[in-house]
Amino acid sequence: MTAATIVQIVAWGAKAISFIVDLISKAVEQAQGGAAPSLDDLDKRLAEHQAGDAAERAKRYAADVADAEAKVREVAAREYSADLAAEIKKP
Amino acid sequence: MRNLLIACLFLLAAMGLGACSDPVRNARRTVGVIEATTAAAELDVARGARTVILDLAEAEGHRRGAELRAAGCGPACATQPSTALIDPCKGVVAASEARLAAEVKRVQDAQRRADGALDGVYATLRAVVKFLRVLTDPRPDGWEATLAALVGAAVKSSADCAAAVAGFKQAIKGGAK
Repeated sequence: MTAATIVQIVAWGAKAISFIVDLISKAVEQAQGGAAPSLDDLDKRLAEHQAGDAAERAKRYAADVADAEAKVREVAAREYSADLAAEIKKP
Repeated sequence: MRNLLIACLFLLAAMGLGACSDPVRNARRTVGVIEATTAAAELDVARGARTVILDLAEAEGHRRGAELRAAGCGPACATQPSTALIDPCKGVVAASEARLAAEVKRVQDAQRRADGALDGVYATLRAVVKFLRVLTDPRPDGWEATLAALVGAAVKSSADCAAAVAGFKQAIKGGAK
């Protein structure tokens, strides 16, 4: 067996082992909940929570209050009408 | 030659295992998982608060309608704010508005506390990403300890946030009667 053949065998072996290790790494990553996101991806995701968050939340709180007040009036009017209709129906 | 082969095998295996336990990759994965969990919790808090507030409004609406009818007020009073009315209807609506405002405040105070905890988590996650961004090659001494401390802070804030969200859910339970 010549030195060149041995070097070639070693090279093939290294490629095969590298392939197997790569497969194992991917399997471990999957088992740990998928591939790690890139920093750009994380930056993008975190930026979504930063941009105007306080203002956005204040708007959401105010909208919930306004919707609640509107709902109270709507339900009160319905309740009033139902109450009145029930009274009219009474013998 | 056999020894060389074995050495190659060990080297590659070590590289593979090293890739699996790379602190930077693990940190990115941890940040990704915590971000997703926190975003879901944020949505959960916002929806939960809104649902409870609208349930409270529904209950208060029934009560206001019945009270206005009992007080002999006209049907238009049910759709007006107290400032547009005169007594006794003004008093009925004003009391109803005050009850609703107090209940909504209670829910939104709990929501604000939970939102504050959520913001705390995002801040720690940003600190991890910022550190990873400025990590130079070759890496400075002690970078692993710094990264571990930042990731540890993110994990702790995430746990604190989970407790805050659980507290929020507990606090609004009384409102969904």
